[in-house]
Amino acid sequence: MLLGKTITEIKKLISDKKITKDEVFAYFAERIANHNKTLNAYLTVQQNVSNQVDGLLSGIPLAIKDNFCTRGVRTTASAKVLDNFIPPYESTVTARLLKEGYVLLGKTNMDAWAHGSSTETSDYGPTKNPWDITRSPGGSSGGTAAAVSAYLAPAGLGSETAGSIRQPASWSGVVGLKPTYGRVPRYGVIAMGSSLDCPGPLTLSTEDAALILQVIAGKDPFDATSAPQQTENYVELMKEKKTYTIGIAEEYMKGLDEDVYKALLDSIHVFEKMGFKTKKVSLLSPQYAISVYTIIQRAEVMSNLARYDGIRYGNARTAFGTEAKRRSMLGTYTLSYGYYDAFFKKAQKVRTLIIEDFKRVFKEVDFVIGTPTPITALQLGEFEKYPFFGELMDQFNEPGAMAGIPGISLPTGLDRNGLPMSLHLMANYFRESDLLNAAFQFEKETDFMGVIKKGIHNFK
Amino acid sequence: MSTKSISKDEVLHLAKLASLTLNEAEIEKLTSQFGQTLDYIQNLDELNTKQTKPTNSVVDLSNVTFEDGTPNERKLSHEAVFSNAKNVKKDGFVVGRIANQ
Repeated sequence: MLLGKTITEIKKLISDKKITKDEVFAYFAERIANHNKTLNAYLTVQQNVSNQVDGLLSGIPLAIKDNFCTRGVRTTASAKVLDNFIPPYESTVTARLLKEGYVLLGKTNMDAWAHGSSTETSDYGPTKNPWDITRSPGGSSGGTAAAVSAYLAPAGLGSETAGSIRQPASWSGVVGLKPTYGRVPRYGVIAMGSSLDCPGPLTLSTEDAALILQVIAGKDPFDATSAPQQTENYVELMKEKKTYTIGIAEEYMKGLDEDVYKALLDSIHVFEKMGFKTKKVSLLSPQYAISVYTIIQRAEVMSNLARYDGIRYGNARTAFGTEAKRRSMLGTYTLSYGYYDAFFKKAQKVRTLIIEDFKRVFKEVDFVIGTPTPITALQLGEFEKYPFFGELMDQFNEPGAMAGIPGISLPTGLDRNGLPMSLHLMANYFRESDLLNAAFQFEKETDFMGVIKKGIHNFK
Repeated sequence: MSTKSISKDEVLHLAKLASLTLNEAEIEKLTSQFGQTLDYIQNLDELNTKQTKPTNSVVDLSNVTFEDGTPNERKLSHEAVFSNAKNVKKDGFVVGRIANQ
């Protein structure tokens, strides 16, 4: 009865008394027990937990990426340095979920410290893609993406620094929303790049993404960088019939796999049929954002990982994996005397150019369209070949991440190997409601849910 | 574009600055990969940024503070603060000596 049901649908089953909250939890606990060995989506699984609070998420169990501090529940960020870390406090985002009645199903695998786009840098082994277990689900939020795709959770939380929600959502065939930087608080999220990090939902439908955003968005006194702007009723606004202008930038159509490119063109036609306007625009090449991201993110990684001394909590620094070392050391290099101006400051200036570039384009159009990743899911092990694999996989997500604008990844169809493909829409700052509105219309117009449902049936 | 190379000694120095230890395989791998990464990021030199100001944060906020008298809801209990530490003596964390006697 439950297989494939969205949060919105499960809520209705619970309120109509067709199923109890405990039965819902037990259902997912059983699916996890049956399939997690194959997928390695969860690192820590909860048993018999309940939440009596009545709210927007009453009795809804969710998968939470293992970089959100959950009070009393082991939180590792998939790193051995934090192997035995039990947070004494709750992240703002999960605290907000608790206040609305959610139940924690478990903590999901990720690239260690969120460093990567495949979950292969996890110190606990990679997560497998439910569409093909020889492939990566994407990352860093790959555990959540796989859990949602295989229906080991009806939805979950991920976090993005640049692409870590949208890319695994794409490779695993689910919906992924990256909000505006500051829209969702970072307090209690194990920091990677503090000027970039952004929690967000991975879901089976646009409405579920809107619902979770509604719960987790908004100013937090514990995060000085969280945005004071009013949040909106995303679920309501999503359902108003609106038409928008979509920008098509040649720079975001290059280097795509043939099937991915064709699916993108088809999606553009769908929007046109829906009455949306399209307009050619030009943006800076994402190639520059790769460099800006590489420099700034590693500098921030370096300063964030410096706090792990193994004295107050966690293990000694000798427990760091190779990827964390690689990033910390490059950050140390680009911030060091003699190189600061050439690398770090230059990157900060180009970051300004990227921001100005988007601001200019968003005067003409509501969205810029593209794909979250140039290719579909790769085989596990491929990332070893590249020193900055993640940056290449996420090249279309990095410019928006550097600017701090929101974006959404939506399933569009399957490629020649039967793997899910997606489209990517980016919008101006705090325009999440417009992104969700367009996504909701697209979902109704296409076989988007067909892709998601097929994914779920990979694991019956 | 000139090829940036970085020596094994520089890699070891960076590891020391970052307080990290590397094994032989990592030294080898990171030395060659740093060069490739540094090569790539030089493409930023193609862009003119003479008149451009650097961006530190995309959030247009400054001096975000608590009102005086705001209760500290984040305060942890003594027990919670030490709950994850391996080496605690009396009321403190045991740390390594940093200065010679």
